[in-house]
Amino acid sequence: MLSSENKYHVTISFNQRIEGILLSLVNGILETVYTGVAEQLSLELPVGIYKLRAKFIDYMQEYPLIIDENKNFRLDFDYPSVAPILSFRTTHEYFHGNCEYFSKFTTEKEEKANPSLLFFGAKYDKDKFQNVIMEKLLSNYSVINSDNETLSQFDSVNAKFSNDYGWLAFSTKLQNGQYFLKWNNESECRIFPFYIFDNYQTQFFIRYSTLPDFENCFFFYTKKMCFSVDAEEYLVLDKILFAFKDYSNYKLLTEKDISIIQQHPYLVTLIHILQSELSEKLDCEDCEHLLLPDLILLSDNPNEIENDELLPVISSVMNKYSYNKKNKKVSFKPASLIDRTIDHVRYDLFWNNFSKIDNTIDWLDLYSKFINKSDLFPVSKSDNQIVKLGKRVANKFAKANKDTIEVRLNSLIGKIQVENFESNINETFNSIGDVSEIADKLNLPPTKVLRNYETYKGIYDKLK
Amino acid sequence: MNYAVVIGIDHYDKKPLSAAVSDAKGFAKYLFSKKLVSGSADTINKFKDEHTEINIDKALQDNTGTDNLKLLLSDTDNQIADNKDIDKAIDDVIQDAKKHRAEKNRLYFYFAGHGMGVTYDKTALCLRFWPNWFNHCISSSDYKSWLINKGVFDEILIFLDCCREYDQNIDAKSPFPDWETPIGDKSPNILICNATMYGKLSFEVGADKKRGAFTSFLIQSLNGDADRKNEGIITSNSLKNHINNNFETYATQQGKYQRGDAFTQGTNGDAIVICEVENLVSAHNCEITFKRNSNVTLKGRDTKPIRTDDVTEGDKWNCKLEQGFSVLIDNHTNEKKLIENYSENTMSYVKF
Repeated sequence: MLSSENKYHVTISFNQRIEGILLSLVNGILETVYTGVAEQLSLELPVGIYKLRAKFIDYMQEYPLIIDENKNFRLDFDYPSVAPILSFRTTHEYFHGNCEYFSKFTTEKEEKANPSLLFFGAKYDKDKFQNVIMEKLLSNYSVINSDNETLSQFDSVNAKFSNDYGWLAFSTKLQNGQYFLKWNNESECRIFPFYIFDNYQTQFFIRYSTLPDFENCFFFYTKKMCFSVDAEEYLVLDKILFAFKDYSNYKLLTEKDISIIQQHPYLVTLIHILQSELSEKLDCEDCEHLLLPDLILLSDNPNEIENDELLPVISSVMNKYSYNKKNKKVSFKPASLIDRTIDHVRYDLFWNNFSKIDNTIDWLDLYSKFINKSDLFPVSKSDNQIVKLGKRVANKFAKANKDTIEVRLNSLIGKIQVENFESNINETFNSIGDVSEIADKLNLPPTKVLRNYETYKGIYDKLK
Repeated sequence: MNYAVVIGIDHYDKKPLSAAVSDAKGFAKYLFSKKLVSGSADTINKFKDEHTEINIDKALQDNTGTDNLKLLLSDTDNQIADNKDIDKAIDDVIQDAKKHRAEKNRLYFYFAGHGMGVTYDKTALCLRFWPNWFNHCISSSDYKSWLINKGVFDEILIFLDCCREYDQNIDAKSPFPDWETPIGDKSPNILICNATMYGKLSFEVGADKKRGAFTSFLIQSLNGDADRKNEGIITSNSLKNHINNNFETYATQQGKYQRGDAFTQGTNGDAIVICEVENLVSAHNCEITFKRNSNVTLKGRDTKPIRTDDVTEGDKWNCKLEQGFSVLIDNHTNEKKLIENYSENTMSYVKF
């Protein structure tokens, strides 16, 4: 055992203000001497080598501490923040300074104040990932309007970048409405739907290591109309998204977080969804909230969507939400769009985490035909939220014209050339109408029937 | 009587892995060399060619004979493992355990390959033709039920080194044989060790991704690291605690975020004595290899210097460290590296 006779006064704090960081301290003989949520510690400890473990959301960092006298440890917590906030390693002035500036002025040749859209991409570390040349990334991005017209293709004239410091920014003024941020390289494509609202700045943040980190990129809607390095709301958004991923993480939100949420209508909207799902009291019931069309569909007044052309899409947050609902074994009948969307989400997760296992684009035209043939789904009060959402999304799709549908579908599943186009179309076309019936008869999920249509159709026909 | 069913699948058509087969071999080799299970010469040949610190030849002298080790490894020229391969292996074991039910029967079930989390309890263990055959998977919970229901095992130890990403649509299969009717009346104590939490991924590590983070940690744990109280034995409780408390750190050091999930079941689930820890014969238990030219100090857990010296790249220090933390300090840059020595009876290899 270590001597406990000589104890030293030790303080531990961080250079970053992190609400809700979980600390644990282990002594030299591997006993945990402290564990709890704290931004700083003040302890009396015997001489020895210690290990401090700091954990925030799903990032963990460990520090060796040599305690042989009274000491004040001031540590850096290198949380890989996507937005360049506070003073993390990913936040250096060449990131946050440029992000702040171009949130206030457009990046276009004729600089204008107060852009309504800010795009900021950066490497996680400017000195690493030498193969990532920011200038070359510009051509990967474009902004598309709801008529599928390209409004801006990022280039060295309308965007700003630094190859040396590893960042690129694009900011512009757009009219209210729905748009798509498109990313594509030679073989892959991603389309992110977003909205522009009155008196809000829509912000999109993405980081690069060797590859773009799509899993952690996000949109933020702020009334501040600019980005600030001191802003804590982005960290709170990270926590909220973490809770959407797994509801048990809801407990990580602190009182201070709730007070930050109350000041940001977008966060209020998200937390309401989360709290209603968890049967929690709504903390910010009277606060202003931002009704994204996706979220309006969950309300009892879906007609609040003023613009018929502003078709809802499944935002990344709603994707996570849908996915979580699926885990609760909500049944999806009939083979609705939402069911297939969830299929997409799962494939997308695979895509992010492993090598690609299935060609999701195979579904593109299959979806199109399906939607074209689908009838309107009656929405019942007894439908749970996600079924309601699914039906309403499907109904919205059903009323749109073919081109619009394809654009929307692209937003869900990306656009890649389909091989065996005709046979895929025919197969799916033939399946429309009896997938649900077969699924119901065989007590199988519709997606499962869809994947193995020939097999289950054969079984079904024999049973008839 | 001890039995083991050890499965490793790398050769998935669309998503091949690199480490599952070598991990399964490593685990089988561990069981065999520690004389925890016997195997036939054919079975042992499957892993004898692998580089290892374990002296298989020595173990062979008194550990061959009854083939209680069922080793199912995928290869380019086979179709292992299919449901029927696994079912046959388990059924054979059950039938033999039935004959020995007067004895204390233990079964090790180890799987390395792809997996999907259907529920917290049910992991779909993906077989050779997944994901082309989307449901070519077996249900971990149904197979566990089979092992329990038969009532011929006193102890069941299950190790699953696979992902548990959510997928509720996957239809993981139950065993083909009768898996519900009891043969004996034993109520087993059970240890279940998952490589990752429900809904999370499990990673291969190393430059060539030739080993799973979890199995590497597991074997080190069984070799002695889990014996935190220096009792000379690894119990299900000590292994469970070691995985739950320290695997996250190990994975982080390998550049991955992964937490293990180990738990026990049964009236004495925590009391299974898995193996004895052999005393380390070597005079040192830590080898430090330097990747720098500098002056370095090694301090023990009481902060007193053990050694200070100039080092050049490639130099090695062999040290005998106490259980617990030690620290290396570069006296020029003040960079520090923590050495976590869980047991004095296992070798640690540190690069600094």
